[in-house]
Amino acid sequence: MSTARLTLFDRFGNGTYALMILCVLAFLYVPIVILVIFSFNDSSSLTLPLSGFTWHWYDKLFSNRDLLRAIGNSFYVASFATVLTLLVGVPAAFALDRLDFIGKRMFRRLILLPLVLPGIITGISMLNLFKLVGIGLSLETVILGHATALLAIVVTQVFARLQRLNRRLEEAAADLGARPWETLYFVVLPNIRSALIGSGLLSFTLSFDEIPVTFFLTGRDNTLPMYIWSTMRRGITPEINAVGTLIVLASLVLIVVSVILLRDERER
Amino acid sequence: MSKIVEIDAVTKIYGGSVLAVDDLSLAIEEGEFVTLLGPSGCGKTTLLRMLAGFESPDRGRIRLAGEDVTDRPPYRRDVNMVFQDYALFPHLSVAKNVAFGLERQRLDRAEIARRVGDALALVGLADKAERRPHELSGGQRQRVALARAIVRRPKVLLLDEPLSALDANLREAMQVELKHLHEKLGLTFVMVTHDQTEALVMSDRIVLMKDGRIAQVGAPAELYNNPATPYVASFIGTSNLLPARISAIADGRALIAFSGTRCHVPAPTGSAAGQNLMVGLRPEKLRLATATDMAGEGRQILDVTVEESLFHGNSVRLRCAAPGGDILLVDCQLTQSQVTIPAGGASVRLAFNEADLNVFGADDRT
Repeated sequence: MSTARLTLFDRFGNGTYALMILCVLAFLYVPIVILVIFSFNDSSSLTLPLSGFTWHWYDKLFSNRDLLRAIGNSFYVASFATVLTLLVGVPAAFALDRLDFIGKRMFRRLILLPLVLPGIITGISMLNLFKLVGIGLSLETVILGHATALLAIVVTQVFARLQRLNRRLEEAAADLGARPWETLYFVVLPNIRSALIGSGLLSFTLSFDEIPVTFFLTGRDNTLPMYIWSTMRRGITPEINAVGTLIVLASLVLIVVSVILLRDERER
Repeated sequence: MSKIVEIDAVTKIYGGSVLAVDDLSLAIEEGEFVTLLGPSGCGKTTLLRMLAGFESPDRGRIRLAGEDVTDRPPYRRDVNMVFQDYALFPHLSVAKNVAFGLERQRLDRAEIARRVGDALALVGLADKAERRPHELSGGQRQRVALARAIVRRPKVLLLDEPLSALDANLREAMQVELKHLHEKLGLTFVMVTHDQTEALVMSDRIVLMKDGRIAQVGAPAELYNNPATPYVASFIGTSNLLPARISAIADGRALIAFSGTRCHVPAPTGSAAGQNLMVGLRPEKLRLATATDMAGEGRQILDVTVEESLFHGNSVRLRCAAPGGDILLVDCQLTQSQVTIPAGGASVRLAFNEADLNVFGADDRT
């Protein structure tokens, strides 16, 4: 019965377990905590000990026109890249799930390729293309580039969800008098909502901090990561820490929003 | 009574070669409870799905209340289906699931609320209206699926193995409940099942299918007592199927010999002396004869050896060997507990009535 068949965890109790979890969390979040702390430190050098609390870097941030414009650009690019990937990716996922066409397997593999391709390749190849057809570089070309690179995320997520969706649900809807568009709107879309929101949010954040593709495809305008990267030549400033803190805050908001949106998807 | 469903020479072929439904015609009367019965792969589900409009026949027409609906999509057919896995919308509450079909008809809110309330009350789930399907038990989900299908008052209610996902006790209760619901609503029910007990208990008429065709159509008692073929006899209930031979024919009666006995039976059409036949005899039509029981007046006696006896609680099934080597199953009802059950190896006499024999022509061996 209760002989000495103790595992390591039994022997050292839950303490070991808790400690391990703490280590993992620390590994993940200590850098972010440091970033946040230094964004409120009233010294321009990033050294300990902390010298005092200040809102100064946030004041400075909100009066830095270049930085604000870069933030605005990033939101513009990420939003439209997300919308574009969803507009192209969702129908593509439906085609993969529903239609039988020649070269379907090939299509499925090819659509995944931009995901594994280094951004630098996507960037250079699209740059060549735009040069070839004579399209000037701008934030819009960045949007196109991001949408290409991120399409695979939307397609794979939505496709995977569609595959798990019970086709009987659609038959039931049709049986109950729903026209095809009503079935799509009232039954299919609500049931793949988590995949739509999830892949949308993922696309948004990936586009928001994307550098390689942006580097090749942007014109005179800069996105936030490009701006941060360019100012890094003068070293990390507490201002950048302040930007980072704001982004962390925005991410938290996004997480909370997605949790709320996906709250009643626990069934099935 | 008028014909609500007319299936006219319908054929369905899958993948160019698999014949699922083969030139099948069937008419269903309004208000009937018809069961499509058969083993898996016999085409019964395909037939039901063609009625719903999920599959379209390769040949033939389907008429619903006199209207040809063969080329109409499911959402333009006045039928509703209870799916085998219920197919409840997981993102909607019970009430919203039931309301779904009514909302598609653009009925006004008050009307929808009233009818949803009525339908849920009918299936005994009025208090679960705001639950989600995943919060319900299997039996409750089944009721929601039913309510959702009948709330539109379809011309025909289609049921695709509706009870197969329920456990045995619940299944029996639901059989009775479905039957009562059918009587109460007066709707036409078409149910698919592979469970012969379900079919026997619930249906007005059973359509027994085999290989995409109808093996026999009729009331449950008719199929049970007068099976048209050995297939029907063995699919519905259990039957001892024994090879027989016609010794003589006179006045439309045939003298047949099987398992060491001779019987007079109505001669099958087109039969002649010397021909081989198949006879069927239900295990419960055989009984243990006492020493004083004699053959005569249509009663026959068989001398057999008991090989094995299986205790079923309310009955005992004996496996007996007849002199010719034929195996006969015998069900003895244990109506009195002092009935002695013969042990293995014992010699017993079995009695049966000639009228209980089912005689099959040699050509409907299948």
